Amino acid sequence: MKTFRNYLITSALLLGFLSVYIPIRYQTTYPRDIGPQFDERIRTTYLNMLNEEQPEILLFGDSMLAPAVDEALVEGQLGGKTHLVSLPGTASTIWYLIIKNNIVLAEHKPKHLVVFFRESMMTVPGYRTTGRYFEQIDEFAAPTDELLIQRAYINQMTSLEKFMEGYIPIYSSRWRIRQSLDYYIRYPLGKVLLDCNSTCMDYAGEVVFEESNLDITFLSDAIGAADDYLYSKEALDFVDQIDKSFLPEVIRLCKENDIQLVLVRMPIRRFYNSESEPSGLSVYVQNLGKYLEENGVPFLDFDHGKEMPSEYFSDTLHLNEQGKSIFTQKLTESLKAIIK
Amino acid sequence: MSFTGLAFWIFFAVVLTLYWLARDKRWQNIILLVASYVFYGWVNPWLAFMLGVSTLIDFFLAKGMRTQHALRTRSSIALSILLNLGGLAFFKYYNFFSDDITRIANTIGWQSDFFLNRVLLPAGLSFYTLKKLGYMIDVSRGTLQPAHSLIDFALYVSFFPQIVAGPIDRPQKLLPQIEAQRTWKAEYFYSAWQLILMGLFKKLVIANSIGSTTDRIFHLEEPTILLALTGALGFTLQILADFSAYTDLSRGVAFLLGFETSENFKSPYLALTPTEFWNRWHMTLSFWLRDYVFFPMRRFLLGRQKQLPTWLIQAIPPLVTMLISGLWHGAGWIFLLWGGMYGILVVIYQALGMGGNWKPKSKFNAFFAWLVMFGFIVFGWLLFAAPSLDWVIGVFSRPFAGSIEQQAVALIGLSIALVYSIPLIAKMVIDRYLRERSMIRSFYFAVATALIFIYINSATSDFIYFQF
Repeated sequence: MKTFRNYLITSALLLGFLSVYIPIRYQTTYPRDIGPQFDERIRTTYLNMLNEEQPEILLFGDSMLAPAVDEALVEGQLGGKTHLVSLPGTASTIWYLIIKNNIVLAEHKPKHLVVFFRESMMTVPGYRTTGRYFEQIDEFAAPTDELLIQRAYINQMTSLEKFMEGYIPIYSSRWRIRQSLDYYIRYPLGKVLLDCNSTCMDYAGEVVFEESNLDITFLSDAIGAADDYLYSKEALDFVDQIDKSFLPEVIRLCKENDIQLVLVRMPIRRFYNSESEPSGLSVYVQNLGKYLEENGVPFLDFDHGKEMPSEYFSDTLHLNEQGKSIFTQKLTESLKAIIK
Repeated sequence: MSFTGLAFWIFFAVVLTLYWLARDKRWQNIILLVASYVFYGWVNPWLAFMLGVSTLIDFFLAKGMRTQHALRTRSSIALSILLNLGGLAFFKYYNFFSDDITRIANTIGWQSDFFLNRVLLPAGLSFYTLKKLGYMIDVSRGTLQPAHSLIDFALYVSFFPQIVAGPIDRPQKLLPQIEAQRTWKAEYFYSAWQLILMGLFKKLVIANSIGSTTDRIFHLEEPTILLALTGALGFTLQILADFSAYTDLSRGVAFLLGFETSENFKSPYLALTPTEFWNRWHMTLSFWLRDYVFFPMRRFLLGRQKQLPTWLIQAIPPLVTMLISGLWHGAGWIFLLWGGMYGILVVIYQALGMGGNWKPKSKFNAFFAWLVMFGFIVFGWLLFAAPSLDWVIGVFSRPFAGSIEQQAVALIGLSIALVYSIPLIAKMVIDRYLRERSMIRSFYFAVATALIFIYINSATSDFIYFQF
């Protein structure tokens, strides 16, 4: 009993000290405002690109896009200047931010914005927003972006998490503390023995663990595990998710700025056929299609019917060269009917 | 449901409240049984159904043995062994054939995920199969009376703190506790809190942090020797932290329910010989194999002393026991090789006079013996974690250090392994040299609590031993 009492006293003292020290160290308030704190700077990478290159058609998506679509072929077939932006590790939240803070603010706005996604990606605002994804969100987010903070972060928390975020600084600052801890844990040996600093060590990690050096099954499993969230009961409940997501905002921003939005569901190889998909997925896609139709947004579903055979894929998500040429052909044929 | 997830702790809070409100042991056991099946069937109810059917079969087969009818007893135990080992072998080896089975299933119109989701490797099967087998063998030998109540026996098999990854408690230890009246005592909490805290700390802070780098090293197509050894060192630490975390959490949760369950680890990496290692590592499995495989085989061979040479009688039991241990951990040559390596080591150490009771004559001898044994342990984990035998052979045909980038990554892995070993070593020193009420111990637990707050929600990997 005394051991437990001593532990309680020591923990209370330590947590009390940290609750004073951490807000001072990281210059945060106590209790802290729930949700992330973004810095003031917003990158204008895509705003600048649009003004410089002035594309008519902007193809936009995550890492699946570049290996799947031949930009030059699309441009040649559709006849308008086309630009492809394939951002690995991104999803609907960062796409919304780029549309809101870069694309619609550009002097030259594209006439057509084609967004490539998979499964329930367009309506899960909490997907790819924390951990290492936070940094890229921060690049395009403003501290005043209430909608982002509410939908992508606060709505994803349980009551307990909200309480801990507000009142336990060691929890709310955990990402920053871990970053500092990781710095002291990972890099000292490299610095001493190889004279290699943190940038050099991180670069080494990227080179050694590059996709082509890793076992393909491991990669597919890792991708599958990361994507499981997209198939959760909650994520596939379109009716419940739509108003919590950024899709209505994306549609509104595009309409107000005379940009034609087109949504493209990408083919993937996670399931052998439509029958083996989670039962909620087909209902979700039907609801999404209906919603987009009501809002006048063209929707191209290239995963329906699983027409792309597995030999056209390099892993569960990404197409290979052969797949790229076939998919681009199908895409341009469909887009011709939509993009005038 | 994972022991480190919020869902589990909400589930457990509800179960714990109802359980202690019930007071009567019959109701307590019913609540625990229902909770165990809910816990086990949480992701896939099919698993709970399978567990229920196999439990029913064993319960009634064991009842049948009470008649003292030798032939009936022999046929009951044979059937039980056949069903239990058959089930285990089917699921363990399913991986080898799953692609073909899935293809055939698709051609006859069955959905492929029927197999992938419902038939593939039920978590914890290896653990509860050994529990049931131990019970059946003991009943057939007459050293254990069969359980009177189906509920008690079903709870022994499915007891949720143990079902997914042990400890593999014997019926002699757990069944009397299930059959006894239990009332709440504050000691249960005082025994539980340190175990639960250390379990969360080892899993969330240590195992998950090392795992992300180690996993990637073992999935490199062509790692250098240095990278592979760094990965093996990381895995050595990761598997201890991960598995002992699970055991701590399991024991802590069981304590809160008024059950004292078995320890599984006693500083295994301080072992000086392979026999000592297996007496310290996954102890409930080691003792199960010792009592139901090693001793019976040794007795059988000793009975044929005149026909067989002594060295064979000495060598076969450890070799076969360790090969079975390897196969229990997984289907594949790599696991057989891993088990075989320990079997051969036990035989060699015995031949050198360094068997179970060996004590070093000096501190230098002890240090040297530890260094050699630790080297074998790390190499063993290299085999264990490797994706295939070809991968291991490939490692030793490549350069030692490789490019500057490969060296840098190896140093990152080494740094991580070294830093995260410090809390484990510190805990060992505290347990060994400081008294229970020491303020340093309290400070250690307070720092562990603070680190859990920092590391929570930033890692999601499963307990490694779930897959066995």
